[in-house]
Amino acid sequence: MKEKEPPTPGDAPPYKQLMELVYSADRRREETRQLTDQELALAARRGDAVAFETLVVRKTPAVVAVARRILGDREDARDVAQMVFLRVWEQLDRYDEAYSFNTWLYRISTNLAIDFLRSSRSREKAHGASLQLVRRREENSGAETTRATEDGQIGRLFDRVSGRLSGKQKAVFVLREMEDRDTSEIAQILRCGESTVRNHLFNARRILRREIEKIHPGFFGVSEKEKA
Amino acid sequence: MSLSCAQALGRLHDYAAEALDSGERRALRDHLAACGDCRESAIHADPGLLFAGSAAPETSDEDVARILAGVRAGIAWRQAERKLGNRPVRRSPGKGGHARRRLAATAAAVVALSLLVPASTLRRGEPRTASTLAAPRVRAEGPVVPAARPAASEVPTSKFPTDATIYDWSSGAGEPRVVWIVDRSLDI
Repeated sequence: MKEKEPPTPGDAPPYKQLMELVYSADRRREETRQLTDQELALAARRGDAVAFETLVVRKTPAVVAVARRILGDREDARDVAQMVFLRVWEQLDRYDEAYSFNTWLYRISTNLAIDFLRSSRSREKAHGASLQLVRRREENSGAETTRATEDGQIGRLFDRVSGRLSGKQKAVFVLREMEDRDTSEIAQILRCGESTVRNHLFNARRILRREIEKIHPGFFGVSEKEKA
Repeated sequence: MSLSCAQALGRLHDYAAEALDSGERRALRDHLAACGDCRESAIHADPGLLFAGSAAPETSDEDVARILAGVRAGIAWRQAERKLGNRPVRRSPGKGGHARRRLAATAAAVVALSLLVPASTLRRGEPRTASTLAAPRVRAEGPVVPAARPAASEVPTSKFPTDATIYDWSSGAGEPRVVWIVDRSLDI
């Protein structure tokens, strides 16, 4: 009778032959990182939760940045970002793939940020910021203007002087000057005409100029008072 | 296209009037970002340029993780609402903590059930067909499976939570079949 041959190191243990890795979220996550935003959105629409989460992780910084600039508050921006992605998840069926995913995402982000800004809580905050602005007006000298060239301080200066802008004006200004988006794209995001975008932009610049002038008279050469 | 200082300063009026095309606008912004003197002159002419190109507020990994966790919880909540018959979940006044805990437990139970249903189907040895599993599916990766056992190549990816890893084991000789679902996101 022939003896059974002993196993060799090359033989795979039985469990390796029988066990199958059916699904691994980690592996799927790795795969989805290679996809474009639009591919991720379409996969998420088909129900791929990992693709959706990859999209959330990828787009969170951009959404928070826009919301933070419109709202002027970090915590509020985080809340809005969360609402944005929930809205995206709920409305994925309505995403028109003929358009850029970013445009659609910015539309949801700016709309929610503007709504948030309009809420009474944000109004109170903006009012408080304006009061603070007036209070600091006397405390600060022109020296702050020089310091404000630093990015962080420019951001804070914007938070202070943009309290007088309407939600739409602020959104248009942020998208155009800070995010460097085309007026045509902003018109798509806000679902309005390009001329409306230009009007908002013109008014936003005028108001910002006036507010900066309040803090630093003569900053733009001739003060608003002198013009009047 | 790079601009000289004179060209850049000459275009400031057009910039403010939105009369530059995107290439010219980009060139001007690039020049102002690199040239301190021109930038100083420009921001005195147009307040928009004071804020143009300022760095975006930073978002830490911790922030991203918090937002993702909030989105997951929100989705689980809304799925729970849907499964409970589209009725919005209400909180009783003054008992917010209890209501929240109860609802969180309901949401967790629904999520766990939704994940376990396909697994229990597998344990009963039913073949996985398009009708038993919701689309979409992912293709399995791993060692070759013996031909005798039913194909276990697809699972739904639409179920939250998404931290699951699923293994399928069978001796292929009429022995009971075992499916492991390892879900790190379930806090039991």
